[in-house]
Amino acid sequence: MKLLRKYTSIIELSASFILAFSIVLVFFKEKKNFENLALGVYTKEYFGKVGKYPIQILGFRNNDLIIKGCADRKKENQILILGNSQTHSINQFKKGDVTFTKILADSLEAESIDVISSSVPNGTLEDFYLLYLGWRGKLKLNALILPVFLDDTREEGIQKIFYKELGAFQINDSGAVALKVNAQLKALNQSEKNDFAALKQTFQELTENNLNAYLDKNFAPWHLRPNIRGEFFNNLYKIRNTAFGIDAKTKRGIIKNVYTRNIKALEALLENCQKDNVPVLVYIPPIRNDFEVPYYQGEYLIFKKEIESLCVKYHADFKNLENAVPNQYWGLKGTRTLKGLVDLDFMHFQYNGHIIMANTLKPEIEKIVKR
Amino acid sequence: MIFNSVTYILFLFFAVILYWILPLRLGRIMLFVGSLLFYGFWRFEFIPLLLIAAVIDYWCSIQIEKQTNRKSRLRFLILSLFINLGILFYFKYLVFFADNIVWTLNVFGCDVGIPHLNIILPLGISFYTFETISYTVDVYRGHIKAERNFLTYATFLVYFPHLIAGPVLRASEILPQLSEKKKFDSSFLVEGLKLVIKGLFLKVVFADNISPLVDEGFALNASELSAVDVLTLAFMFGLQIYFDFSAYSQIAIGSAKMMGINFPENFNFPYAANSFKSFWKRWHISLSSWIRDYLYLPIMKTKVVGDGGTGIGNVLNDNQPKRNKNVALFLTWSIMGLWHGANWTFIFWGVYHATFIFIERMIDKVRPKSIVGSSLSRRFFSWSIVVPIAMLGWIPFRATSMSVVLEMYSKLFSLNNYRFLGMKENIYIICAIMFLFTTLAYLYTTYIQKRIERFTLLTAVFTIAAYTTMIILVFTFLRPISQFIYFQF
Repeated sequence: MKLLRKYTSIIELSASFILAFSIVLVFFKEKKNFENLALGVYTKEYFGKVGKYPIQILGFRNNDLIIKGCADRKKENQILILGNSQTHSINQFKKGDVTFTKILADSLEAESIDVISSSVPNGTLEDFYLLYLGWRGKLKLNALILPVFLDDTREEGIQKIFYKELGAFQINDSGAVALKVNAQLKALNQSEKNDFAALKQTFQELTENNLNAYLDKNFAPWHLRPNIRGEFFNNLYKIRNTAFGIDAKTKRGIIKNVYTRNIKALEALLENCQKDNVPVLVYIPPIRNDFEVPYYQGEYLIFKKEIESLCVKYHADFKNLENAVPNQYWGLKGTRTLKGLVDLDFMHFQYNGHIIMANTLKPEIEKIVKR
Repeated sequence: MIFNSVTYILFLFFAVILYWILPLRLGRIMLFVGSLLFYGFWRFEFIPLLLIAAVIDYWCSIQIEKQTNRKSRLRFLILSLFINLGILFYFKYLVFFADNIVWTLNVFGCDVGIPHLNIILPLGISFYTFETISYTVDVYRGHIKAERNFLTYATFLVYFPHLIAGPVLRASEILPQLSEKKKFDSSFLVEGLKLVIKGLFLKVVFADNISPLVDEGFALNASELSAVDVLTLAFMFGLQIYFDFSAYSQIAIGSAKMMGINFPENFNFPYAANSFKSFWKRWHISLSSWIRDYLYLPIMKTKVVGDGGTGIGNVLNDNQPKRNKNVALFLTWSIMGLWHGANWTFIFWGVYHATFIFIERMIDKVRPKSIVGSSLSRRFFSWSIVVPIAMLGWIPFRATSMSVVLEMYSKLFSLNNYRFLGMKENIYIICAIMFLFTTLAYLYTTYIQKRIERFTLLTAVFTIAAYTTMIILVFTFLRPISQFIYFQF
């Protein structure tokens, strides 16, 4: 007993180490994709292909394959569709289901129109601004299709993980939006490339790199660390939602400054398109309306009007497609709280919804191309 | 070398083993060489600078002790100060002063330009310069004897746990520990390791995850922020810098403890302070006491006497005229600000704190004795005033220029600015949770921990649960993605 008391601290610490590593090994075995965690099990990502080349990608990932595909197909017109996860996801996915981008690509092929799409989950309007300018330098675009969600104006900045392929790319505009996006791109290249940002150009960078490579290879739990980090933040998110009673139906308000910065990014994008003579179709995306939309009605109205007036200002086409997909083509998603299993999905519709969207957008695209 | 890295954990592991298995002298050589290696992992070319500081102060202190008359002693002290402060001035302040002189001349119509000076600040220079100064001053004051063994003195100066960002140690605290015979006790390892785990937890889990939110907030145009945003950012950065720097101190103290060497505490729940005086007795304690003993008291012309070898001075004649005290207060705090960084924002930060300490002194003087007390409600009231002011004081510490600082402060004085929020909801939630966490940690440590210690099993279960969580999170988040904030000072 005396001995036990003397070594209590050692026992406590040893037990903590054993317990900690046992938990890591037992509970965090599976690798998960945390980029699209919000999709849940009821919604599936789908990235269409034409022939062997992709026509739909996340941000700029594999953009070289899209470019090769365009060069290979040699169509007269190239149409770029931007968007968030609605563009690349199918609710209640069944084998054979495809997105509206893929349907459009197939159906417009005969008219010598190449449809490609680049989307970012939870994308902001700064993301779309950067995506357009990035693609503009790589392809000759004949039109841009741009869904603008109120949700997107609540997010801030660019989603850096989708732009690594842009390398040292910098936007050549002079406005505040360009300055901000450029700063973020620079940070991406300078310090966020790896986990050793603080060691740049020091001898320790070398040892840390080697030690990490060794641990990755020889110590299984080391691999799991990004997994555990993702799981940790996912659970924090769920705890927050549960604590504050946040679910899919909870109304999301406009955050004044974030909203303004996003609208400025949209304006900068439209201004660039106007200068480049690239016609744009901006649309308010479909949302299910069998339940009250998760926005404050007044704010949602102001938002739609503001987008429309920007389109008028920059001679872009505007369509309000909020009711385009009927209620029966919307479904459920996995809950993002600690209570229950499922929740309403206000963002992603089913395959039939994608067919409707393709049919709605097709004549608009044809109209733009014929101009 | 950065503490929050696998390289450091491996380095510490071997350093501790070698220290305990090698005999005293060899162990000291290992510590000296190891510490230079530790420093060299950042940049080898600044090691000679470190050694120059060690040689100069070793030699000067012996000369000071050898001299019999006061003038000669003073001459060697001035020589040491001149060289140390000269090196610090060159690396840290030359560009700042040159820029300001040029700016002033330009204002008066003299068109002067200076070549671009690309001076890299050697890591830890502010810290080790203060340590060498305190050593020679203590020898000059006769508080301690000059160390005759160069290896012992140099090991004290370059000893890796405190080399880069403190605690700012006194020679009298460490030299005896380096010289005396080592006696291994397993509790050194366990207690030291616990502190290292706690420190890494605060750094990689809290500070590093708050950091992007703070960066995002301060990157916004100040004109777009609301008053609540300014307060939130002040609190967020206040928490970040606290977690970051106290983490560094805990790892430093823990690493030294694993070798049986005791460092003084550097933090004691500063955000539990209910007066500015108390805040500075809880925040970066080693620097605050250094500033008091080697700057504030000498400026006030107060005599400081030794207290039997610890080197930490006792005040002999604290009956100075009020004017002296106030001048000393503002001067000291301006220098304290400048020590942190060569920028007007840091000087402003120093003056900001001096002003509130001055106001506190005034209030203490005029407050009727009947309301001087420490009832819980009174302490809570003082705390709820002191903490937001202390947090707002971090704005100049983090902002990039004085114009941003003033714009952010101006937001607080208009009611309209309290009517909207300019950032994402998560930032406010995280800020509130983090602040609540630090407050609960203080309440637990102060009022509950002692009471539950007698329930051995309960304490053991609680300790195991806490350390298991911390180990998992440190393991998960340990990545040298950011330096410690105090590295830049």
